[in-house]
Amino acid sequence: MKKITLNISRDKSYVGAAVPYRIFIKGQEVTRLAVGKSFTTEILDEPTVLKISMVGNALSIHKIEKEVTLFPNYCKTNVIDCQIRTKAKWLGILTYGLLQAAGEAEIGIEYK
Amino acid sequence: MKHFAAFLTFVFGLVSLIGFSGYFMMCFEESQYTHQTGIDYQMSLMEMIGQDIFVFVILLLLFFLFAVCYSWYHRLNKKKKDILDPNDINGPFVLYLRSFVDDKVTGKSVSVLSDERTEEEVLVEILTDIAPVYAIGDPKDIKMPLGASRVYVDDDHWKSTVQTMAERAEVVALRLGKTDSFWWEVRMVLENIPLEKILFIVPESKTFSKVSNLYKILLDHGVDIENYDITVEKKRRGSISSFLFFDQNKIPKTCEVQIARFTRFLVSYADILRSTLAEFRAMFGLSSPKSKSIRYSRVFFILLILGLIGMVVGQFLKDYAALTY
Repeated sequence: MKKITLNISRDKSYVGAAVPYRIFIKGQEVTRLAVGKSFTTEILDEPTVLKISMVGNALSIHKIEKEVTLFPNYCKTNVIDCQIRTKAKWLGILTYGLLQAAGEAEIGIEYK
Repeated sequence: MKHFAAFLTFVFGLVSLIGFSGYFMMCFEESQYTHQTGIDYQMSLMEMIGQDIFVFVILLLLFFLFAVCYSWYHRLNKKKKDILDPNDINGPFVLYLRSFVDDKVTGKSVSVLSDERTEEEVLVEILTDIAPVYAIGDPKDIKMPLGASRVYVDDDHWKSTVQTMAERAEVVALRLGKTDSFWWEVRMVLENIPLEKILFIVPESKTFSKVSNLYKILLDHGVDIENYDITVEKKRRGSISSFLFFDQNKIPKTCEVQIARFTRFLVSYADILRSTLAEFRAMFGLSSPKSKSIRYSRVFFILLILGLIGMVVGQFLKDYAALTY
């Protein structure tokens, strides 16, 4: 089956900057991604689930994580670029993560 | 107005943060001080009876005002209307169809204290796990509502645009509405889209008119949902009551939104919708939050409330004991 190159990069947001993201592909942890770093892997040409979860989530009430389905059939040059962004949530920061997570993870996907 | 809301949010947030931090530090130091000085300090409490509770209530009020202002600021944070051509959408996407009048309902905050986002934003967050969400924009919009990205089309082309987008979409989500245009969309989708790509969102309602309309249209297309339980009851949060979708074998599936008591601050509305749509999400390989988190949340929530009550009552009793002594 055709292979697709998956590029994952994390922005330099200050929210959770000290903690890496755990990267899961099809439920298997493939790497941990620190702030500003990137990672490249290959996936099969079939719908694939990409999950990111911040290290330390097990201790927090509200987790900073995101899960998306990738559809490689939309690729023209067999490359998928994923940009991980972390946005601050002030209500979460001010309540020490009690009412909601201190940040929100977003994944921007570009099929190339 | 946006800057004013931001200013109020900042002021109330800062004051409540400093206030709460100071209050807890004061409680801690007070107990240390009482231990050291004994009776002299207790005597001074005679004049302070009830004041600790009053301070705590004021701080809670300030925090509530912060949450309200934050929610207000968030709602004012709308973007300018975008001129997006549907042909520019290259990747997969989810098409969200609804009656424009429902934008007012889904534009309200889910919970002022725990989630400043609107119901549409939360729904879009869930559907974004599958693909980015697009909706046809109401021509009357001055700014783009929070939630799905809008595609604005004129009256002459909206039907063709909706049909083209629906045919390309990975999922078409339809929130049951009242307008004729919406029901045209339902018929069009059932005629042109595979059933397993369709997700019906059933909002709360006092009557079954919307569901019975859907039942008739589905029956015309050879799908019988008579024996399926579709609820339209009002829920504790949000306006969505249940969902209807079809599995890979085109068998209808219904799921009711279930919101447990005493979990308001600890189980987000997004997680509730994710759990509700677990079976639908599984068709795309997505996981859903485990149900045991509800049990933990409930215990934590009750402990939190008991802790707060205990702290206030303890403070009051301490002052009262000092007074009688």
